[in-house]
Amino acid sequence: MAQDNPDLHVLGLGAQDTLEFANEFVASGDLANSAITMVWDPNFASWRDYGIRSQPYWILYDDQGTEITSRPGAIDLGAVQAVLDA
Amino acid sequence: MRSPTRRAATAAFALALAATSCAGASSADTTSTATIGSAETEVAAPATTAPVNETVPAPDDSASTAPSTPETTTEPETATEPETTTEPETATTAAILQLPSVDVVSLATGEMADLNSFSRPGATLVWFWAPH
Repeated sequence: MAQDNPDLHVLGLGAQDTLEFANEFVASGDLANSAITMVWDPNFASWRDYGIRSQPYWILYDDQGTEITSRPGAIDLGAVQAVLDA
Repeated sequence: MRSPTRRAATAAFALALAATSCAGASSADTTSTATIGSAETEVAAPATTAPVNETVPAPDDSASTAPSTPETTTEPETATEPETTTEPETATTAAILQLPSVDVVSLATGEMADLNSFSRPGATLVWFWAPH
């Protein structure tokens, strides 16, 4: 999705487990070669800041930094595309 | 001195002037003006000086004013220099999403960095994930 939409910046913000697991996750999903920026938070500070209590979870912001929608579960590609097309 | 014909001509011209300027004047007046008129005819010659006035509008005056007009044209050029306002460019900077300022590990480099440093212009999808 990120490769098909160069104007969309996808930031993968991981937490829980260990850094070793996080690196294995990225390698197994071939995410290192994707257009997704992958980071890992070792102490949950970012998740707490966002109020995230379950995963996966996603939040979509427009180009003005305004939150458009946020949902738990798999990413709704249709909803994301609708925002990009608007 | 003057020839008789010219003297007669000046006297006739003086009479003509007196007749046009004061039609009801007495003859004595006309004679007196005739003598005065002779003096005026000396000035009346200005008929010949009139062409001199015609030459006045010659381009010499325009040439003298011409240098002043270029000076005024150069001044506006300097006046246009202040139009170089670069401030609008700063207004074109895109809004960037503000992310929490917390330390995270970049899985591309393995280095710690502020999460906010990964913010980019444009629409952003933040995906929360866990390895397990």
